[in-house]
Formats: sequence, C-alpha cells, structure tokens
Amino acid sequence: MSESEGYRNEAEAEKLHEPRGVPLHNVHRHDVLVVGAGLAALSGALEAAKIGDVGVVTKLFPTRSHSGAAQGGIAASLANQEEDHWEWHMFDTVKGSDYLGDQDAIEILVREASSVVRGFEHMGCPFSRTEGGRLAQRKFGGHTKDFGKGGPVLRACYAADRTGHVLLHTLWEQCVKHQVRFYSEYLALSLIVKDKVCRGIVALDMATGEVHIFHARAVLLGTGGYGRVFSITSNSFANTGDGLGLAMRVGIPLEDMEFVQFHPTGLYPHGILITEGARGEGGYLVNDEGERFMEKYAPEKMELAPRDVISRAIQTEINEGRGIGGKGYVNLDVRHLGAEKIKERLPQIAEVVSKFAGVDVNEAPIPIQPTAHYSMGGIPTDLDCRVLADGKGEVLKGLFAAGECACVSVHGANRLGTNSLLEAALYGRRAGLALAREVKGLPFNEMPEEVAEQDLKMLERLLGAKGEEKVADLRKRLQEEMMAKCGVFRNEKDLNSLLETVKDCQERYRNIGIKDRSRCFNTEVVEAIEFGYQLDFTEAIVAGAINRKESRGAHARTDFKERDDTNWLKHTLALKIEEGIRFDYKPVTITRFKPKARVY
Amino acid sequence: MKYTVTILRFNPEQDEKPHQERYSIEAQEGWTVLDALNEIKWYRDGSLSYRRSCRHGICGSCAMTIDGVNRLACETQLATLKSEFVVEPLRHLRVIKDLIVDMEPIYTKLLEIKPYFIEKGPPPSDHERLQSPEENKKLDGLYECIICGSCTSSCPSFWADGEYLGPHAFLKVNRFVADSRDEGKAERLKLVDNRHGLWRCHTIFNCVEACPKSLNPTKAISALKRALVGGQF
Amino acid sequence: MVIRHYRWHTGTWAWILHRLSGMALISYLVLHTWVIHHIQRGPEEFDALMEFVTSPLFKFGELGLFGVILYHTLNGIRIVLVDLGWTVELKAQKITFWALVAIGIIALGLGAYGFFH
Ligand SMILES: Cc1cc2nc3c(=O)[nH]c(=O)nc-3n(C[C@H](O)[C@H](O)[C@H](O)COP(=O)(O)OP(=O)(O)OC[C@H]3O[C@@H](n4cnc5c(N)ncnc54)[C@H](O)[C@@H]3O)c2cc1C
Ligand code: FES
Repeated sequence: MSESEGYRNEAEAEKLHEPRGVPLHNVHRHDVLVVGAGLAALSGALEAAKIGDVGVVTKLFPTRSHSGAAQGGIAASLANQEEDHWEWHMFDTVKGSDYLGDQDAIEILVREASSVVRGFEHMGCPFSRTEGGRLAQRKFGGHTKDFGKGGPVLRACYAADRTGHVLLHTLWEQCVKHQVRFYSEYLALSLIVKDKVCRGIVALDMATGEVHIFHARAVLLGTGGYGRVFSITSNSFANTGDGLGLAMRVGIPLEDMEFVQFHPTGLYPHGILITEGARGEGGYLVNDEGERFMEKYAPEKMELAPRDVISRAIQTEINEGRGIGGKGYVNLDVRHLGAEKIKERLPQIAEVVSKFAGVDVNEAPIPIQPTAHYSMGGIPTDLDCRVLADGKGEVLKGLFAAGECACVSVHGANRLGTNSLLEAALYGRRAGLALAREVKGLPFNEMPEEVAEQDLKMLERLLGAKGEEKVADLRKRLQEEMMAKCGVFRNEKDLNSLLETVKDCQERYRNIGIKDRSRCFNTEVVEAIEFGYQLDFTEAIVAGAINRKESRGAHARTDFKERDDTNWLKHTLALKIEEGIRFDYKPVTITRFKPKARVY
Repeated sequence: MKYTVTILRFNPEQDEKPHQERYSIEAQEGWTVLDALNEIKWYRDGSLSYRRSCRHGICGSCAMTIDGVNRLACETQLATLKSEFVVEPLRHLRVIKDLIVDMEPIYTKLLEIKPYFIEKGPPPSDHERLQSPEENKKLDGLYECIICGSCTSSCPSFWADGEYLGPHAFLKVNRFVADSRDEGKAERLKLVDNRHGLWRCHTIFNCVEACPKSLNPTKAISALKRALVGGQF
Repeated sequence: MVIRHYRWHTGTWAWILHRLSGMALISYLVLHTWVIHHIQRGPEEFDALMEFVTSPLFKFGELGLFGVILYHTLNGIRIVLVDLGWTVELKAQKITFWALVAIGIIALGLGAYGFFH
C-alpha cells in the first residue's frame, strides 16, 4: 500500500525528475495502472492485482460505468439447457461480423467463454438459474444451432434484465477484496509515451482540479465506447470514447472506426434502449399508415430479422416520410400481447417507457427509432491485448487495451448481442493475465522531463477560455450531423460535407469560451476535454466511412450497396497526421469459416 | 410547458454559504429533471455542476433532493412535478459544489461490511455452483442497489449518528447473508451487531420512501435482526 | 456544509410521536414516584395531594396519559410487526399505522367515557 500512496521516500522521489508544475504528492506509482472501471478494466485489474499493486483511474465511481446498463445477457455455449458447441457460437459470431472479424480472436472468445461466465458465478454473481440449479440461458438474435442451420439457441446467461449490473458489481466487490486502489472521478488527460514505451498517464482530479501523474510499469485502457458522438444513442453521457482520443494523440492508428452499430429500437426522442426482447415476445413495428412495414424488407423473419436489417428498414420508412406524423420515429406495438404477458415478460420495458416517454405500453404504442449503440472499431491490439503501435505487428511496450475501446477484432463489421459483455470480461481478463505474467519484468521507465506540461497548459487555457464558441452548440451540431449523415445509411456526398463539419468544429473548438472558472468539479471543463477527444476520433470514423467503398455489416453505403470481398475484406487503420487521416490496411485472419453471402 | 426551477447553488471557491437561484425554462414533452439541468448548464450557466451518466436510472449518479425528497434527476419526469420546483443536493452529506455532495461516507460504510462474496473452499473446477431458482429468488430486492445514496442520506438515524452504517450497507449485507452460496454469514452479522449497526434503525421508512429502485432496506434490516436473534437462541 | 431539512413521511411522524410519547412516559414516571413519595409522609400531605389529583385538570391529564400510553403501546406493536417482517412493506406499515391510530382513537373515546362518567 505504501508504494501506491505516492513517492513517500526521498530515494524513490529522486529517481524521478521533479515534474514541473505537479507537486510530488500528486505523483503516484503502481505496477499496473488501469484507466476505466467497466467490465474490461476491472477484469484486468482483478487478475493483475493477484500479483502486483494495481491502481485504477476512472472518471466515474466504478459501479457507475456503462457496463452496468447492459440488460440482455452474456454469451457462452454452456449447453445447460440444450445442445450447444463453441464451434456453433464461433460460426454465428463470424457470420454476424460479416466475415470481418479475426477468426483467431473469435475462437479464443468462444472457447474461453464458459470459463469466464463460470468464473463470475464463482465470484458470487447472482445469475438466474434453471430448475436444476444451473445457470439459465436465453435466446438472442443471431445465435443459432448447427452452424446457422437450426433455430435459435439458448446461449445467453443472464440475471433477469440486469446482467451488466450484476457482472459489474461483482467485479468491483472482488477488486475491493483484492485491495485494488481506486482513484474515482479522475479524468485521464494523456498517455505518457516516449520512444514507443508507455510510462504512465496524466490525469485530472475532478474534485480539486489538480493534475496527477501516475507512473506505471504498464497501463491498461478500458475506457469504453463513444455512442455520445451521435445525437440519438443508448449510451451514457460518459461514453465519449476518451481512450480513442488518448491513443490517437500518441500516434496510434485506430482500427475499423467506420463500423458503428445502430440498435433498431431506441426510445424516441433520447434513444434509450428497448431490448430486443420486446420483438422477441411478438411486438410489431408499424409506420404512419398503420402498416407492418417489415413485410417489405424481410417478409419471412419480419420483426426478428437481424439488427442492421431492421435499422435500415426503420430508417427508410422515416426518410420516405412514413414516420409517425412525418416525424423521426415509428411505433413498436406490444398492446396485442395483453397486459398479462407484458407484466410477466417485459416489466422493465413497461417501466422505462412509462418513466421516460410517459407512455403506458398497454394503452399506446412505443415510439422508437434506431439508436447509436456500439462501436466495433477501436485501438488495435494483439490477442493478449497489447496495443499495436502501427496497428499491425509492432507492440507499443507497456500499453494494453480491452473492451469496447479496443479492437482485437471479434465483432468485425457488426457485433452480435451478448458478445460484447463477453468480449469486455474475457479480453479484459486476458490483458490482466498477460500483465500478471509480464509486469514484474517491465521496468518503471524514466519519465520524460516535459511530462504533464501540455496538460497543465491545456487546463490553464480552458479555465480562462473567453472565446465565442460554446461546446454545447458545437457538440449538438456534430452529434446531429453525425446522426443524419453517418448513421444507418451513408453516402459519399453527405459524408464529405460531414467531414467539413468535423473540421469546422475542430477549428471552432480552438475558440471556445468557458464560464466556470473554478477548479473544484469544473464539469464544464471536463465536458470540453471530452469533446476534444470526440472531435479527434470522429474524423477517423467519417474519413473511414468515406474511404470504405462497399456495404458490410453496419456500414451501409447507398452508393456502394454490395459487399466487396475482392477489395475490402481487410481492416482499416486510420492514423491521424497533419493533413487529416492516413489509411493503412491489414488482412483479416480467416481460419475455419470462409466468407459466404450473409443471408439470414 | 414553462417551469421555474429553483436550484441551491454553492461554489466553494466563491461562496460562504449556499444560495438559491431561479431559472425559468421552456421544457419539451417527456423531459426529466436531468434534461432541465442540462438545458440550464449547456445554454444558460455552464458552471452549474451535478453528476450524471446513464440518464436512465441505472448508474446511480444523479440522486438529489427534488421538492424535499430524494430521487434520481434522470428518472423524475417534469410532468409529475408542479410548475415550480426546487432542486437541492442530498441531505446530510457534505456539499462539495452545487448538487455534488461528498459520497465518501456512503462508500466507506460499504467497504466496512465486507461487500464481497465469501467462500471457504475452492469452487467446483469445471462447472458452476448449484443454486435453485427459489434460493436465487431470495436475492431479489437485494442485489439491484445502484448505490445512489438516496436512502442513507434520507435516514434520521444517519443524521443523528454519522457512524451509523446506513440502509444501503444493510441491504448489501443481507444480499450476501441471504445467498445460499455465501459462507461469511457469521462474520457479517458480527459487523452489524453494534451501536452503529442494526439496532440504530428506528423503522422510520424514509429509506424505503426514497429508494428510486423500489427496494426495501428496512426489510433487509428486519431480516438481519431476526437472523441475529435467531442465531443466539 | 450540509443540508438538513427533509420532507416528513408517515414513518417520520410515527417515529417522532413514539419518541415524544416515550419522553412523556418517563416524565410521568418521575411525577408518579414523586406522588407516591409524598402520600406516605402523613395524612395532611395525603389529603392535600388527593385533592389535587382529583381536580378536573388532573383528570384531563390522566386522559392525556392514557392517550400517550395507547400511542406508545400500539406503535410499539407496529414496530414489533415490522421487526417480525410481517408489515415491513411500505404500504403495509402505513396501513398498520393508520389502523392502529384508528384503534387508538376508539380506545381513547371509550376511556374518556369511562373517566368522565
Ligand atoms: C443500453 C445498453 C445495453 C447493452 N446490453 C448488452 C448486453 O445485453 N449484452 C452485451 O454483451 N453487451 C451489451 N451492451 C454493450 C456492453 O454493455 C458494452 O460494450 C460493454 O459494457 C463495454 O464495457 P467496457 O468495460 O469496455 O466499457 P465501460 O463499461 O463503458 O467502462 C468505461 C470506463 O472507462 C472510464 N473512463 C472513460 N474515459 C475515461 C477517462 N478519460 N479517464 C478515466 N476514466 C475513463 C469510465 O469511467 C468507465 O469506468 C449494451 C450496451 C448498452 C449501451
Ligand atoms: S444518470 Fe444514471 S441514475 Fe441518473
């Protein structure tokens, strides 16, 4: 513990240059420093804590992380209730990814899934049970029997509709037990990287406004997704993709950023998630003319077609003026299920809809629209979550990433429901295990002399910023245009104009004004910093979407409607350079399943 | 729809004590108190500070006192309030800035009661522990806590005794005591059997009134009391 | 700096009244001991006291005492029911509170009848 409290003894302190502008008591040292406290970060922290001293820097108190909002379940082919095999799970995941997922990574995901889920049970996680006392499992979109030839399979383990909540709380409890040191409400400002070695991070203690330096043998990023660059999203306010900004700023290319999942049923107008279950139980989608429009798009599967298909159908209806009252939503109708069934199977939905839309689902249909939900792309890593400096083979020493901010690529162009909790927990754990193996062999590398200088300057600038532009206005403009032009459907013309907007916002961002001058909990400054990250990686999303001239998974181009395996069966790597984004590519790892047409 | 929001403001770097500020806003249909706060922060006064994240009542960040009772701002529809309402920070926790209070007492109490699964032997190597659906059901109403602090900050026993463990901690204790798999029952009960523990609950039910997740800490406390007494006779 | 006031719910009233009635009972106990102490100090004091305790004012006081005892007893029963886990739901504890208040008022009425007839 003493070591983790900072540089207590003089000898330790002397090894470090007195950082300019940061008092020594704000300099901390940990074997492993984890950024984030969601499922991925805490899974890593817990494993690493078994061998060394771990500090966790998180902008939210751990249990408030977005992982806790996940409802449906976590996939594992336990076969507790019916036959299932990891090979089937693998096939579904590969097909779901539109063959862009790396099959070596996917194989690890599906093979280790059972041990991860059981591991949670062993830590006391209160999963729902079968009559026989085993972990209960439920069906979820895209998870099938017999390599897609059979019907839906019972594969998702769950705790009612609070799966993310129980997993996250269980992990936090275990981290407490293993004496992980938490720095809650600290915002990571930059990675300390020099000569391709990560030496720690700089962070802002939001409560005091002071800058802290965290010196570490290795850093693990688990900062989650970025749904908040869209105006309509199922994501938390905190999901601003900070980790992507941090990585980009130290010259790491981002992988497959053009792939963003839109969930078909977000509650209008905010986009709060209405789970797939509502349609699974038999809900209808209806347009302004009272027509069950899925007939036109997927006559066989109707409302149970895959997520991307339904999102495209809904968006088409809205775009062609058949949204309810000409507005930006259609209706999800569950009234015909009857009050009894709604109460038994969809209680949470009834509650959410009544609380947030003021609608009684027994009396009126639910207004819904596609909502930005999940980011498939992210920081490129190898199979042990080591961050790749060039996105391909070269490891950036001392830096790891896992969860939604990373891209080992298990989801490729589109992820299946229940696979992301699994990815976060499983690859987070793999990162932790790799750290546990390697960290004692890694030195505390020397801190660069100018450490934290940039961050201090930036803070001073923001605290006194008197410009005319307002973050809220810029953000609103960016979010709305992202939704309109880089949403479910995309085309070159819109994307080009969007890229101009992004650049214009970047330009205007230099001239923002901040009203709050206090250091204590300056949430206005925090929002401005987060928006800075968003502006950086949004450019990679948009440029990537322009660059990829095909339609694959969640990336649907109206001007390039087909999937093009000849030219585009490859990962995009987007590197930020002076003039914009420079693209590079790497091949997809294909082992068991050769690409085929993706029909359901 | 027009609303007048009165917010208790406090900036430790400028103010000696908190003061009220009034804002009138034009709200859209379906807005919650959090939407109103955002409107004020983003377009009126950027210095207004509060915690928020998930905006649908699951992360527990945004508990505050709205018209004299503790609730989640993100879940409270404006339509359920009068056209003038008051927003203040949670009771009896140190106000840091505006609606942000020091949650440390809430967290510390949780850490005191061993808030983690306790097992004596190793788990089965290749499968999960078994637990019947009935045993699992006993955890309903206990495991859903989002640690928002609404209950404990509304509790007169906590107001009177800052060291009182508080309803949220007892809920957590009972979440494990009621778990058929947990083997730490005896040591946990010991931790709550003291003058800052269970016996300080006066069945006032403020915690139950305040819980935004409709949980019942008093029920957990009563169950724990019975477990303690039952164990001794 | 902390904020102190909070809205009063049924449970708050029940608790505050329980505290107050408890304190009233303790004060009564003191009074009672004082009376007992004085009546055994001789016939004069006995008579003087008796005159005082049979005055109408004291009768009202006794009725008040009866009310206080009733409240403390009935709410005590309510707390026991809560501790037994029988009426620990929010609604149930409110219903028991008001039910016991109703019983209390009836008993108090009967008591008043008894006292003054
Ligand atoms: C409504 C909803 C429902 C979902 N349901 C399911 C489901 O049923 N099944 C499934 O598999 N998936 C589901 N998902 C997806 C899944 O929940 C997420 O992909 C997953 O939880 C991501 O976990 P994570 O650990 O990567 O990130 P998060 O849980 O988002 O954690 C990010 C962490 O990083 C911290 N952080 C971020 N930036 C900084 C910074 N600058 N400084 C310090 N700390 C920082 C945050 O504080 C937070 O602790 C759902 C998603 C949503 C939105
Ligand atoms: S913002 Fe998460 S509970 Fe209100």
